[in-house]
Amino acid sequence: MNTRHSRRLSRTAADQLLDTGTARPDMVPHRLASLLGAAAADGREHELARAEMAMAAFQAEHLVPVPTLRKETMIKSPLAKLLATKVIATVLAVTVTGGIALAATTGALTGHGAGRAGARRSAAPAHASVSARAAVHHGHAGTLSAAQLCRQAASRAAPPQRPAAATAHQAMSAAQLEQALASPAVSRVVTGPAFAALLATAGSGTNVPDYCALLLRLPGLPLPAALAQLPGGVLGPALAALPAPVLAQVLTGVPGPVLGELPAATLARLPGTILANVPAKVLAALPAKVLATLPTTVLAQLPATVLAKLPATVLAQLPTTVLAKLPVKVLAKLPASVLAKLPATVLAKLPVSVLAKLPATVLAKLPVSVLAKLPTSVLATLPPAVLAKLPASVLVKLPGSVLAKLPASILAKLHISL
Amino acid sequence: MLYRDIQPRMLRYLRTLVGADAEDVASETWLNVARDLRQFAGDSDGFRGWVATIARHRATDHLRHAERRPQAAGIAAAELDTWAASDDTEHRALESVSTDAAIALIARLPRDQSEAVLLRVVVGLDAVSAANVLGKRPGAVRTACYRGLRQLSRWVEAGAEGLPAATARHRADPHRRNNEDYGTRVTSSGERTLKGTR
Repeated sequence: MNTRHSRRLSRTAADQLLDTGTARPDMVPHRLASLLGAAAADGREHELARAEMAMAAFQAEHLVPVPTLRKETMIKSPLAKLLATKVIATVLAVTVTGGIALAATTGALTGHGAGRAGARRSAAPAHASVSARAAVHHGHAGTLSAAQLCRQAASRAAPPQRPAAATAHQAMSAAQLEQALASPAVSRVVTGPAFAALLATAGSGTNVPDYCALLLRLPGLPLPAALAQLPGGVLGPALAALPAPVLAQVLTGVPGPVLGELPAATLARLPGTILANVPAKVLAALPAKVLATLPTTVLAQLPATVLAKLPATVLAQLPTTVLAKLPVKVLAKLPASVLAKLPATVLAKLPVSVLAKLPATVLAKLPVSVLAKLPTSVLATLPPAVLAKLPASVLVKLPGSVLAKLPASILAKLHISL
Repeated sequence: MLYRDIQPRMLRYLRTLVGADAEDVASETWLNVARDLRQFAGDSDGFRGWVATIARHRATDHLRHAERRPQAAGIAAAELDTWAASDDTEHRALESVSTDAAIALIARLPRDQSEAVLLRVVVGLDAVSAANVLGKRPGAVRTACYRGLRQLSRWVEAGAEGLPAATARHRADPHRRNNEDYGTRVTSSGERTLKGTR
């Protein structure tokens, strides 16, 4: 009985058995293999009698809020606690996949020396399931919107001690999203293949938080200077999706040249106070309705062709030096009180019908050639000193009451011509 | 989950260190693990090694405070004879015994050998991890393991008469297992063991 399996175990066979879990059956005594298999067999009920105690210990240690990391996520409801416990268990399971795999080595180290090899085999599916999960993420990446990717990135960058956020990133509050996006972990998270699209769109990892903040309408996060780093082509569509008040909030303080790269449609939704920073060249492309909201000092910088589109009420507020450059057709629409401020050289270009509305004091500055075209009713309002300059052919049309005020020398000329 | 995997193996390891107090020390170990979990970083093998290290420290503390020698749940020569002589109708019960018997037999090895064998075979650590737990060089662990396996092989080939006498450290308690609720699992390895030993 004692000599049937008296083969001596070699050092090589022992090392091979322990290192790889396999050894040639003829190298390892059968009974030794059986003994080791029994020693490493699956756990039995009585060995797990205190499982609840261990779980309670994990719960007690890992459900206590850590104020610095998750002050808004105190787990209060029993359901949330349950979820959190499950998450901890999952995290443990995923982190320590091999551990679970080992549990599958039932009857390890059989006579065929399959012990640790069994452990390795069962470890493979455990890793595979993790990879599969990653693959699912990749699969989604293609169909996820940029905003969804942002939420995912935020949830992954959130402190791991915040299990509620990890499971339900859709439910992360704006403040939580902001906090997560502000964490330095984001730039590391987005290097993952699942976020390749997001990374490519934002241009760089450091741009991601700002881009995501724009997409997720988190006006608290992006810094104007950081926005300038976002590619114009990305910034535009992102901003276009924001409601006007948020847009204004986001773009306040953004340097003009950056704003200048935005599409006109986006700029058109900005208040004049922000547009004022936009280069005139860009503003010129905006609709008149938008330009009308700009401060006068900004409008004054716009080319006359652009200003010409503005309503007269807006133009009326512009300095005369600016108005003077406007086409006559535009000036003609301006109120007389505004025109009255214009230099005579400009007024001289205006149609007679417009000039006729101007006060006599203004008309008096006009060249005689212009005045001569005015209707007699208007000329009659001019001071005699002005009228005196008019040619006799014009003066003769004036009523006698007006002519009576003219100097005798002028009247004498009239009589002569008459 | 994780606990269900590691706990039985840790318990078997601890049984060779602190005997009947293994469950208490295991509980202390899990409390310790739960408390320090955030400090752990590593893979699955690392985690098993980390837990084993904590278990060993707790066992050392336990022995120091209790000021008593470990009381291993030993295996008697009679039990090994029973193991060898049992027929197929007893397989179900004996299969469960065989794990305890196997652990008890490993516990009879010199301490360095039994720890090395348990950490590598039962806990599932590689030579380097086991060496870290034991505070030794991997080469020393490999040697201890080899010597342990060779001795175990001699014992199981020789049967009951080849076993060393139960010492104070390996106090025999042949009736201990008779009152326990044995598992119902039957594996081919168990059958082979029983048949081969007969």
